[in-house]
Amino acid sequence: MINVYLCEDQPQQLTYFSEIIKRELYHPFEAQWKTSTSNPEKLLQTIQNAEKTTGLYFLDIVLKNPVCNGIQLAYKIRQIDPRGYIVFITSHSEFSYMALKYQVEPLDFILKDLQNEMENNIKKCICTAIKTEQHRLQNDESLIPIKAGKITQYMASNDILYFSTRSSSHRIYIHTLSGEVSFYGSLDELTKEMESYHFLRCHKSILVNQKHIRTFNKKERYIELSNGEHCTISATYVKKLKELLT
Amino acid sequence: MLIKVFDLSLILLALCSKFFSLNILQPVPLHSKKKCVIFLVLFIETMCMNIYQYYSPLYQQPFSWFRIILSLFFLTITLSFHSSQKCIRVFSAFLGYIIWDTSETAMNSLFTAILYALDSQIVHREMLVYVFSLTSMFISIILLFLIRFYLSKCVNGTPTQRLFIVSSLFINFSMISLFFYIYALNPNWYSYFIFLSGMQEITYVVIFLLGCLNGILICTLVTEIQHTHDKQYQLQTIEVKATYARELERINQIDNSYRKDSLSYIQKLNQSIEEEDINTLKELLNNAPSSIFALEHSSEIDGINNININGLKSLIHVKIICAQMQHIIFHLEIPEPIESLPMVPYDLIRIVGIFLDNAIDAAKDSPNPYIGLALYQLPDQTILILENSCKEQVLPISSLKEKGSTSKGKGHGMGLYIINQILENYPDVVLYTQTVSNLFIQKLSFPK
Repeated sequence: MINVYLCEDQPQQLTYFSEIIKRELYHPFEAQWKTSTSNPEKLLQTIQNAEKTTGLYFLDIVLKNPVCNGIQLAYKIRQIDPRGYIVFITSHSEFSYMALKYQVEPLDFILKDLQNEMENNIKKCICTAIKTEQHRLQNDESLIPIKAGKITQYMASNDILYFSTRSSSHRIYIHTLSGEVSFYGSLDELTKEMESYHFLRCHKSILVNQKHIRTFNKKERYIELSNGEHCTISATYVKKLKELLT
Repeated sequence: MLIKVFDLSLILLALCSKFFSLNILQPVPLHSKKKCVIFLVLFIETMCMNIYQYYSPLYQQPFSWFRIILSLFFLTITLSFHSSQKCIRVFSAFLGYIIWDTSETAMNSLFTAILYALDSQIVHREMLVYVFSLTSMFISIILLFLIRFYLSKCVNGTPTQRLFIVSSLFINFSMISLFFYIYALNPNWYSYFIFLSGMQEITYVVIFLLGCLNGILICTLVTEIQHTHDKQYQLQTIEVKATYARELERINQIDNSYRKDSLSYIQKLNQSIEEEDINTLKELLNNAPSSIFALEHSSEIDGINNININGLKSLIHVKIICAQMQHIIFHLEIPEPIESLPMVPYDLIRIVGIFLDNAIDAAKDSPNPYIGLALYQLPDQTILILENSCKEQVLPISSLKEKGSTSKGKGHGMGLYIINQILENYPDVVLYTQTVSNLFIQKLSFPK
């Protein structure tokens, strides 16, 4: 079940949008209308009090709240509901915000300028959210909380290939399908935290995602990952891995 | 019974302060597992020492090689657990231990000497021993904290700077320790009273003077550190200023050439208009010099005024012009004023400089050259994002970070390696690298 929220500071547009959204919400089992408000803080409170389900949030980027603009609101929502779907309602000039693109990772942008397409776009967003949510539920895409420095980061376990570190370094590198994240930490502690997420230690400095192992070569002692990368296996872990993988 | 309790608590305290002394001067915190091992080894060492002191026939024997060799042996084991890779860590641990040991024994002897100089008929000798050792432990730990405080105040720079200061400290303190081992520390403190009572008055003076010397040395040391740091800081500032001046010069040159180009262009236009030569006019308009139109996007970079960090602003400005000269579209996004970032300006500029240089190099060869830079604040962190278009996807990214890895030929490719080296000193900073369909994205997060 997806809860749908709306935050927009102009009362006229608020009623207008909420009417459209309510009209489009004809999936009674997949999504339900929760609340619409012009006050970001109130919205945050509602989310915190709601039961733990994913939300679909329609937010105006330019909120006239001095403490909390749309980006910051979205960021705070992400902290409470890391896998929620955020859709920004925006006028054209704000469309290319890099901050939004990489920090909030919104589902979509809906342009205020295109009045006639708006209804259609909102409908599309709701459908995508519902579809993605079903896909997630079927494939068990669990999010892993990773404590990087002072900030806890949520990453989809399917995206992570392996964690690695270097002997002279205190930084851990998360190798994902599309890139790399480097943060300060110890691989031993991380291994303990990752115990419940199907991660295997194959080397003193490598922690590999079991889901991404393609082949296991015992003779030459390496693992081939789904993207073709090779990870060395050290002598200490060969036996254990063999038991687990074959 | 009471004495036994005192003894035990003293051993425990000695253990704790030893452990602290090994860790206080560390530049980066240790992992908890290693800490436990070190603590265990130190514990065994202290127990061995005390058992040895009580049961050996040499008990109350002033000086024994065996004791020193034993303690050195344990110290080596501890240090080998401490860290096998970084010499600076072992060095600072060793230094911490030496400082602690020296100042503890020095304080001990100083107290005893002063007390005995005042009155040689002291009744509760045993109790006084406890008081002395407690105070000296306390003082030596405080001393270590003071040194660490100064180190952290003075040295927030590169490992080489740290190594320099740590080694200068090391030399000074080993000198003092040598003095004390020769003059005062031959007996351990149980038999110290006997030794001292047999001494001539001149010895008190020597010990007192040594105490003073100790103080003076520490003071000079601290000023010395401050001085070297100031000097280095000045050098850095001069360097940054020089780069800044050079870049200004370049902007000036660009500006001049731009002015010249447009002037001559307008003159040519004017001429052909006067001559009413429409063909030349057409040709001129079609083949306008590129420099005239290269800077047309500069209105988009207004956000640059929101950066209030010295150096960073001019660096970004220069690189924007540099990119635009090479026909790269530059998108800058700094919505709110940025006053400071939790990173030494020198390191920050190096990192951003490397990022931008790489981005310009990569974007130059791509079909639709584009670079985007965003700097903005969130409730708990400040984010810097750089994205650039590139010719082909580079995967895996890990291959880029090896020393000497490059796509540019010999002599390049140190950039990302240097960034990783710098980030070793900033535990809270998180670096994200990503490629998404011909876009190369780098994100730095600085927690507040």
